[in-house]
Amino acid sequence: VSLSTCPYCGFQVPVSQQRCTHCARPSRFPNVELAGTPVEHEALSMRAARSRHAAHERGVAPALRVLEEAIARTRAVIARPPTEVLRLSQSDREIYATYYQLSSAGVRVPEGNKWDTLRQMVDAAAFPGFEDEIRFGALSLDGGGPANYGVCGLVLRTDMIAHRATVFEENTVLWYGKAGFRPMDPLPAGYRTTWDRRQELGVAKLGDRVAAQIDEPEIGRMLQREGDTTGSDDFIEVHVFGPVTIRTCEEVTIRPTRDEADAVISRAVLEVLPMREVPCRVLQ
Amino acid sequence: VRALVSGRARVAVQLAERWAEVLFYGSESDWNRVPLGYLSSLFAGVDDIRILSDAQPAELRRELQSAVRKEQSLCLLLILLDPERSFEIREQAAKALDHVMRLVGESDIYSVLLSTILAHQLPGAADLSGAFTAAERNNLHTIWDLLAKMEASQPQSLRLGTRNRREVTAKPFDSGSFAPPPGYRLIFDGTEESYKRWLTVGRGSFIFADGAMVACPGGGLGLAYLPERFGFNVDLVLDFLLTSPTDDSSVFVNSLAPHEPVPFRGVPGASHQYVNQAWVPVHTGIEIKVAEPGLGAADDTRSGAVRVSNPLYHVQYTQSVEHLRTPMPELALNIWHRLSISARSNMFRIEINGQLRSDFLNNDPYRGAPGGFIGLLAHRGNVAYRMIAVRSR
Repeated sequence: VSLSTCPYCGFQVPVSQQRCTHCARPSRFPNVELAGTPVEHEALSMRAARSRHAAHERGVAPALRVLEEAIARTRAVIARPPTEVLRLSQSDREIYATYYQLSSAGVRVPEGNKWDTLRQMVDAAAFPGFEDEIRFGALSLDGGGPANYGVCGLVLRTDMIAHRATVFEENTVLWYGKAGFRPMDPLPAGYRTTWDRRQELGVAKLGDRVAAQIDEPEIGRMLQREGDTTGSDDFIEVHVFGPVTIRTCEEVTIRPTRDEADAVISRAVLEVLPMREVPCRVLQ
Repeated sequence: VRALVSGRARVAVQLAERWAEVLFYGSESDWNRVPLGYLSSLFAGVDDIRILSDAQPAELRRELQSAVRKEQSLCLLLILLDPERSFEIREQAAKALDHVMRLVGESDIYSVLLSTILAHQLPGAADLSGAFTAAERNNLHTIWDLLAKMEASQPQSLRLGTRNRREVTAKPFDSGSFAPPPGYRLIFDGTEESYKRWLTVGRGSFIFADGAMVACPGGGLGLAYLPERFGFNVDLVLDFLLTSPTDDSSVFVNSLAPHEPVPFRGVPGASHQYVNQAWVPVHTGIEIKVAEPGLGAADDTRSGAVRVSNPLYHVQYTQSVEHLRTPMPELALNIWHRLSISARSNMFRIEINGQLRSDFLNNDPYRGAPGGFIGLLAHRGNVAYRMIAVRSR
């Protein structure tokens, strides 16, 4: 395969690709355009201002500033099972590429079936016309992702996604359900924004939960809260437009697991990634 | 459409009119009711979605477990085959794969692997030999059998033993004329018929070529043995031919039966079946080297030396042999040499070309089991044997 160097991120990309497989440039990023409109900015600014005012009234304004500064340092994490992360980390090696392609070939769902129809219907509301391009993640301070989606956290490099990521109040579809919107209704303004304004969204969402004393672990728990059920998990969702590869990752984190097979696969991930020059660490 | 299962996404979903019930693999919580749109994020990028109808929750839970286990098994097998992974991780992968196959059922895992790895040519980067070793060292019969199936499914030209065979069959072995000493019985007489009486186990094998039995190593230890017990006191005579200084083979006498469970050393009443049965004579028999690495090599690596390998499989090494060796001149390659082994109780006498080479006493009761088996080892290179004869006393 002939390769060329991406002028944006500097990684190698097959010349046949229309955009970089690691940073997705050059491209238009419709999620960023939709979340970055003046209407969205203004609506979110109003929410954040109300939150700051309420914090001032409660005497917790300094704590809210600590929260805001911390959220400005958050990274996007995609949580996946170790099987997926091993696949991702080996994707350009013959032994893996061959079999991962083959392993899915026999069970692929045919085009145009009912599942595709269903999926498109619900995706279309939040991401009209580009639902297939969105990868879902969560904001994280420590590099961990929502555990229900997998014990491995792909911590994305900010410089590889800042131009194509947006953030949303919480899990988009759960939010639709809670807020009483129908799937086809357009999103109301003020609940999504561009990557560089994620702290503004954090202030708007979490401001009323801030106590006078706040520290980093507490902020981490506020950002990602594991509920009694998956449906009550809470986090700030990140929408990344375009492809994600192992080169898009700054590091990978792994949560301990009691599943014996996953534990072995996780150890293989821990061994593989440093060889691919991607740091990997175990979260306690 | 009533239900969806994905091993890759690790979720099972029951669909209702306006919501879905979702079960996550490994989650302690039960089914979670979510809006239908929630599924889009769950199944993002996933291409192994199975669509089921009329599946009950308990059945879906089992389907999810099975789908994830199949996904894991593929991943573990690739780790096991990956030469870039540490051997420790590969051994752990072999053990975990064995565990998964027991949980799900071997046939279910085979069905997945049959449509993927077993159905296609192994990439050149895959290390089947190392995988066999990992299975062997951990006594994992299921994994050994899986790898053997995988090897058998490869094109002829890619099988390690077959590659070696081609090289061997091109060599004109001069098996010549030979006769056993008086009073001896031929157990290999240079005919294909007598060759077929020998059984092969382990990695690699022996082939019949030009009236000789020729070792064809397959990336591990292989063994040819005669399924016949010989007496406690036995004389063995054979001719061998080495083609390279790197050739490495051995002749075993008084071994336990390779195909039967082997007692644990020092644990009365406990025994186990070896995964690679070629190791049985290494651990329980008397091994006489057949190799010519040159005069500078360690003496016990050269032909006619008795060798007590450091055993695996939880068998503790004991210094068991008192050994006298006579210095031996370098043996010429590509000509036949005669090896004579005389066993009297635990006294062994080895001659090469009529010259005394070794004279030793075995004082390890675990080794040299009386009435044991005779075998030939395929380890490295294409060592050839002809005219194998025994005399029991």
